[in-house]
Amino acid sequence: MNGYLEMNFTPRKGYVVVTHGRAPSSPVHAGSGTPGDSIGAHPVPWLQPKFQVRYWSVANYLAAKPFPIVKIGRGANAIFGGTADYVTTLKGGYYAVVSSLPADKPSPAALTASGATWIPTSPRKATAPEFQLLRNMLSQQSLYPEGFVFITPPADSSDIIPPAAVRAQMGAYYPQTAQCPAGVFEAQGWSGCLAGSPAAAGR
Amino acid sequence: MIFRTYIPLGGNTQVQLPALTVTHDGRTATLPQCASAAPARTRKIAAVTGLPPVTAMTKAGDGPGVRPASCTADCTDPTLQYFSPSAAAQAGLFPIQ
Repeated sequence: MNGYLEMNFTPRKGYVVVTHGRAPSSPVHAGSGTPGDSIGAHPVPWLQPKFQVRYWSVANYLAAKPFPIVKIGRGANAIFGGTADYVTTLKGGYYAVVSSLPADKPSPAALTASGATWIPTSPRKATAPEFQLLRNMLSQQSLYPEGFVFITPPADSSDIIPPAAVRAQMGAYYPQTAQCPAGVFEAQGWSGCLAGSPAAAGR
Repeated sequence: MIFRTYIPLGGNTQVQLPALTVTHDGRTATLPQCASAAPARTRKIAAVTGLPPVTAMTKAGDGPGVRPASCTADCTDPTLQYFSPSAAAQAGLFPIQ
């Protein structure tokens, strides 16, 4: 069973979008080999209580058909606007994913200070609406009812579960997001970006 | 039938689709592969990144941010807020297991 959360945003030149939340545990070190090459090639027994999910990722997509994932560059130099669990920096069990145009990418020092992971928004359509998906691969609830549940499915599958309900159910696992000037993140990190957002007042 | 592959970010991007042959009542037919541009594009995206394809949204005609008729409470613009998209829009292409 998979769970998806969606967040709509519009990139702005000179700005970054911060996504900060508690990371569920997953078998990021399962198997053997080089990360990015063979992780996942070796199956691990499931359900393992120490892993809450099988996999998670955060990724940016263009909000226009066919809704492609953001990609910059080509071939071996291609960079995708997404980060998976095994390549995402965690600090105290939390991730801070920073999305921006490549020109507004924070400095390595700022990213390190925040324990943050940068992913691009589309430079080709710099101000076009995008959406970000948080994906969680979960255990199959019918077989493993003791597994980790992010969101209780709605009674009607056509229903969207609104942000307030998602936030209430997920607790610390609900990602906090904010868009702020790149300079704010550079100087104050993810917390400064979130603190200065209008939504912060309502939290 | 969905042929789904998960490849780590930066891993092998050259996924070869299988040739599917169906045999029924003594008759055998090899199914043609999809040739339209959009599915091929999204298939490649999904394969390359190991991230979720969003062809379900395309198929359903629902773009992100489209408010469903069934949303009756707390239906404010979810910009910069995470929400759970409709499961119905994902049916068929997003994996359920």
